[in-house]
Amino acid sequence: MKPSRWLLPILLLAAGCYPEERVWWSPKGDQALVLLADGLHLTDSDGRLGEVLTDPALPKDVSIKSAHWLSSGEAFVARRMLRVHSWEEVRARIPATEIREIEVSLPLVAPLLQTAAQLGSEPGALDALTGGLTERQATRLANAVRLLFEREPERVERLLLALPKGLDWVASLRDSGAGYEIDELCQYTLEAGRVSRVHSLRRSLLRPASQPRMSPHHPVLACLVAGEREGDLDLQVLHLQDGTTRTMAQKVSEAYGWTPDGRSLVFLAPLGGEGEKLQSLHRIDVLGDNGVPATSSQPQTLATALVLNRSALQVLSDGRVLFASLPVTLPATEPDAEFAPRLFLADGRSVKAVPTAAGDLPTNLGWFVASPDGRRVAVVESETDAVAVVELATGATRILSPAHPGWQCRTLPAWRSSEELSYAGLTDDVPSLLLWRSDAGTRRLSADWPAESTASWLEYHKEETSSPPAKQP
Amino acid sequence: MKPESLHALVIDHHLGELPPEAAELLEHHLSAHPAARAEADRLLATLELTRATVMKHPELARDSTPLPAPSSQRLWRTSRLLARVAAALALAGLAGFGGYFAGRSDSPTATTSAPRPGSPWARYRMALDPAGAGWQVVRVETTPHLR
Repeated sequence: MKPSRWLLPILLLAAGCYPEERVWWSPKGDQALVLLADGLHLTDSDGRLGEVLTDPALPKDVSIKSAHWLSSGEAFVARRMLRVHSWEEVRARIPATEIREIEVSLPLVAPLLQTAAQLGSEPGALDALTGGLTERQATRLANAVRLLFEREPERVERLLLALPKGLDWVASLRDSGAGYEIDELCQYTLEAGRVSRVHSLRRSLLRPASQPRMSPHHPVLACLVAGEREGDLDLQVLHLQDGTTRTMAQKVSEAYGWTPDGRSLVFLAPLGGEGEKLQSLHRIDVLGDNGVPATSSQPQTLATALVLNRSALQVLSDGRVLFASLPVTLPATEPDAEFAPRLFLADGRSVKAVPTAAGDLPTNLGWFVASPDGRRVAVVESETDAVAVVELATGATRILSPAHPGWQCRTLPAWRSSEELSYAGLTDDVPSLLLWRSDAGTRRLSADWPAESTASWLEYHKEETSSPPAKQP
Repeated sequence: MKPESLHALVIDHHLGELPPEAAELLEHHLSAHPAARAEADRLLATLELTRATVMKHPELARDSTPLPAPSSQRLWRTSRLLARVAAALALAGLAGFGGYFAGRSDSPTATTSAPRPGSPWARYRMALDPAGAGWQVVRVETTPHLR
C-alpha cells in the first residue's frame, strides 16, 4: 500500500520562501509599479523604468513592502516599514493607546531580566519566562526593552550581559541600523511619474497591517491586522472619510478580496482553532446599498474548503469566488481517492470544480491570479519556476514557462489586461520580467534593467539539481 | 546542590508546588547552608519585585483590550460543533491512514501517482527517514518538458 497522498500537501508546508507580489499593473495597464532590489519603481508597458519612488518627506529608512492601485490610476496604497531611532519620534507617529501599552511595560523590564538571570545559565532562561506571552505582549516587551535601553543603556546592558547570549542582545540594541519599526499604510499620489504627496492612513508599532486593498468603488480600505496571538489575523476596514475602523472578522486566513461592487468582502477562515485545515468561505457586507456602513451584517457561508496548502482565493469580475481545496466529501470513505488540490468556483448557490486534468495543477496549489475578465487564471508554485494559465471554463491548461531545474518561483504573476500576463521567467539564466500575450507570444520587459534588480524574483537552489545553470545573476 | 536545582526548588516552593516532604527538605537545606539561604532570599526578592510590578500595573498581565465579538464568529459558533466533528473526521482519517501505512508497509519508498506527461510541477514521493523519524516528503527531481 502506498502512503496516503493526504500527507503530501501537509508536509509540503515546510518553512520556506514563497511567491510574493512584486508587480502591480495600473487599472488602465499603461504603467506598473515594480518592486526591485533598490525599491519601488514605475515602468511603462515597454519596460521603460522610472526612478525609485520616494516619499519627499521621508527619503530614508523606508522600505515599501507592497502596493495596491486605486481605481483612478493616479494613486496607490502602499504598505511600508518605517524605522526610527528614538522614542520621541515613535511617540509622534503611533496611536496614544500603543504609546501607553509600551510605556506601562517599562517597569517590568528590569525585574524580568533579573529573574531570567536568576534562573541560571540555561540558554532558554528568558524564553522560559516569556514563552507564555502572546505575540502582541512579546512585541510590547521587546519595544519596552529598547525604550529602557534608550533611557538607561548602561543598566540594561548590565542586566542583559548577565544572561546567556546577552552579548547578542546588546549588539542588536547597539546596532546603528536598528530601531523601532513602525508599520504604516500610506496613500501615494502620483504626478508625472513622481510622488507628489504621501498621506498616512494607519500606523502601528504593535499590530502590523498587511494586504491593504481599497474597495473598487468606495473610500474604504480593507487590510489584515495581526491579532493578539501569533498567526491570528483580523480582517479590518478603515473608512477613509471619517477615519473609523471596524473589525469585520477575527482569526481569518490570509485569503480575502472585495466583491466587484466594492461593498462586501469575501474571506476564508478556519472553522476551528489554529492550524485547522477545514475552512469556510464567507461573504460579509461592509457597506449598505446607500454606501454607508452596513449595520449588524451577518456573513454568508459560500462553501467549505479543505485547505492543506496556503489559503488562496480571488473574487472574479462576475462575483464568483475562485478558491483552492482538496476535492473531498466528508466523511471520506475512499482513503485512496485522488487528493490533489483543485480549483473551485463558488457563487453562493453552488460550488463547481474547474475541470483541469490530473497533473495540470501543482500539488502545492496556493498561488494563482485570475485575469481581470475572470476567464483565465495564472498558476505558479513555490517549488519550481513553472508558470501556467488555466481557462476556467474548460480547464484547458497552457504552460507558459517550463520548470528549470533548481529554480523556484518567488514572484506572483500579474495581469496587465485580460489578454496579457507578466511573470518572472528565466532569460539566459537571469530572472526577468516577461510579458505574455495570448495572441502574440512573450517579450522581455526588463531587458534594460540591471540584472541584480530582479535577481530575487526567482531563487536558485543548487541542491535541487545535479548540474548548476550556466550562469547566475 | 547545583544553583539551577536550587532556583527551581525555590520557585516551585514559592508557587506552592512542592510536596510537603520536599518543602521540608528544602527548608532543612537552606537552614544548613547560609549561602543557599542568601541566594534563595535574593531570588524571592526578585520574584516579589516582579509580582509587585504586575500588581501595580495590571495592564501588564492583561491580554489585550477585548475587541467586539465579530459577527462572523457569532455565526461560526452555531455551526462550530458540526465543523469540529467534520474536522475531527478528516484529520483522524488522515492520521489513521498514515499510521496504518507507516506500520504495515514493507517498502521504504513509494511514489505518488504519475502526473500526465508534460506536467512541469514538482513531484514528490514519501520516504522513510533514515534517522527513524517517520515518513518524510522527498522532492523528485524533475526533467523539464515543453508542451
